Amino acid sequence: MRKTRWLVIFVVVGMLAWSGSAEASEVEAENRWSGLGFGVAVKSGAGWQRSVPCGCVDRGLFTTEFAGRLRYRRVGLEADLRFGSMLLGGSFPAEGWAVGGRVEVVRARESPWGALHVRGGYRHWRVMSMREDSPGIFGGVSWEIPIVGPLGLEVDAVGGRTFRALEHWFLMGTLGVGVRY
Amino acid sequence: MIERRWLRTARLCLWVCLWLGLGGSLWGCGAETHCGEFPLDEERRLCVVETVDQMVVETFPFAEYKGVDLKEFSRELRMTLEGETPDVAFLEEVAAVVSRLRDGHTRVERRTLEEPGVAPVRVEVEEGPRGDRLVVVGADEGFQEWIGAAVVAVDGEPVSEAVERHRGWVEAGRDGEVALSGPTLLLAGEAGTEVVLSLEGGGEVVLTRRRALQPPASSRVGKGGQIGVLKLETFGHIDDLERIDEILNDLMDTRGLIIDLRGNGGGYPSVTDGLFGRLIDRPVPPFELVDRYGKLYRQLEAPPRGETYEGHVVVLVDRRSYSASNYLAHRIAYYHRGVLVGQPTGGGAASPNRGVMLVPGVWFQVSTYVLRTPTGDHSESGLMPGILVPAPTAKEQYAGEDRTLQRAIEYLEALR
Repeated sequence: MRKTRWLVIFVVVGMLAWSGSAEASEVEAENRWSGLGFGVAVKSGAGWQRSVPCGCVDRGLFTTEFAGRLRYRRVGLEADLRFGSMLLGGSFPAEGWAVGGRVEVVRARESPWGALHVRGGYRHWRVMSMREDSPGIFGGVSWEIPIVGPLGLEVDAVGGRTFRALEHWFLMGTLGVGVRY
Repeated sequence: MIERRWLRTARLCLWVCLWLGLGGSLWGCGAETHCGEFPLDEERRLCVVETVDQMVVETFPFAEYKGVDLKEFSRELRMTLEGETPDVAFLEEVAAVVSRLRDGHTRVERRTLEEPGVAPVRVEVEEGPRGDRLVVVGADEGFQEWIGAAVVAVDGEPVSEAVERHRGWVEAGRDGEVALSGPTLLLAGEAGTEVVLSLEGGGEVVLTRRRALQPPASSRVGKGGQIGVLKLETFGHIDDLERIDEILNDLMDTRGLIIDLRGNGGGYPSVTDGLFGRLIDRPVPPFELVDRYGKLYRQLEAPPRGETYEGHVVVLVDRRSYSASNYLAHRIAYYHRGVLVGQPTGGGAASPNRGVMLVPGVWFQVSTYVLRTPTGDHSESGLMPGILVPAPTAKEQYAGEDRTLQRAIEYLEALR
């Protein structure tokens, strides 16, 4: 019931937001890809984890991220909430958050293939039934391809390292959509 | 121009709401209960009873094996709806009926503790001259002086009443990772808090509860420290696999390894399979999870992982080695990767794949699948060790003697 309610809110608000975006002017579009702005994105992905004490790649990783961004020219700050699971024999639900920065190394308006970012930051992760949470760092590249209006496709490749008990290296790819303002 | 700016701002706000809403909805997923909140009116109580009944009747795999009459079970369950009992008493009655299935995995759990804690002494219930009493039969280091002491009340509550109040209940951690039941539960509470034991013949003891299940620990024993000991109190924390890996890395130079599973009530097969994977250098046939009709649900693989420990292995077991712990013992014995030493395991060959939060803080789960070896056997009733050692007496525990460990050391030292 609760999920249905949120789904309805999601659809209605999404339609309202999308209906207005079609009127964006060329000036707005130019600002959108170059000046001060705000953005949101939702991405899903999968990857592998290599346990440091074992020295083996023994588990998988699935995540969905809901991100918010603030940017000025080439530099941006981002934060996200993430949900997913760790696959190790069974599937262990996990959740966490991340904060970080991103730099637009290839600008969208200079390339027909969209914008390329390098990004990095701090990630906090908790897998169900762990004795303690798992902090970590991550870094990677993000490719942002404008589709229509403020909407863009985002493809990320991210690697990182988690610490404390769950001492792991991880590598994952994500795919999603983002909106720039 | 102003209108356009307002339009942009409005759209921005809408997108923020949209993302916060979607994120918020997912954040809250799983927080719902199946039968609503307290207080439990007639409709909610009926929901509790029907949910438990339906789940047991649909999936419980051991009715025939354990001689349980499921119609009688359903009748007893519905009797809990009679009368006007307080909510807690009603749930206690439901838990008590479920406990009559005599299946450790099918149970009603309380999940009210943030950090489950236990007293540093282990007790058993005994009938005394003036009703039930608790007798201390084991203790952590530094508390052995209380072994043999008789307790008549816990935090002021007579033992008989405490036993009745906890009958059928299991207390678990917030993710279900710790399951405390039986006499242990009588002294359990939030870790770091105190429990007051009133002794028979007068006097009181105040003990501080420690974290219920300690992380994996290791030591070296035998001549020249050539035998490593890996003590595992639980498999209920997934990140313990990394701790186990670290310990094994440190013990790679030993010629024998003792894995102490005594008192280990189980946890995740993923952890046991991860540990087993460090003990083998080639793949082994999988165990299987099957439903009560024998239909395969999934296979449990335990592939080799990382650097293989090649020394001899002994596994210490007792009747409290249950579920995943019993499963690991079974794997070790089945593939002849080591020898079991101690008392028969407690069994528990089921996998409780179905569970539901009935009302806030009250979880119900039912055995859904049965763990089977490649030859079709299961060990629901326990596994007999290769080297049988009688359970320690209170006198031996008081003296700090551990015959089971000593026998394991002798066995390993005798191997060439």
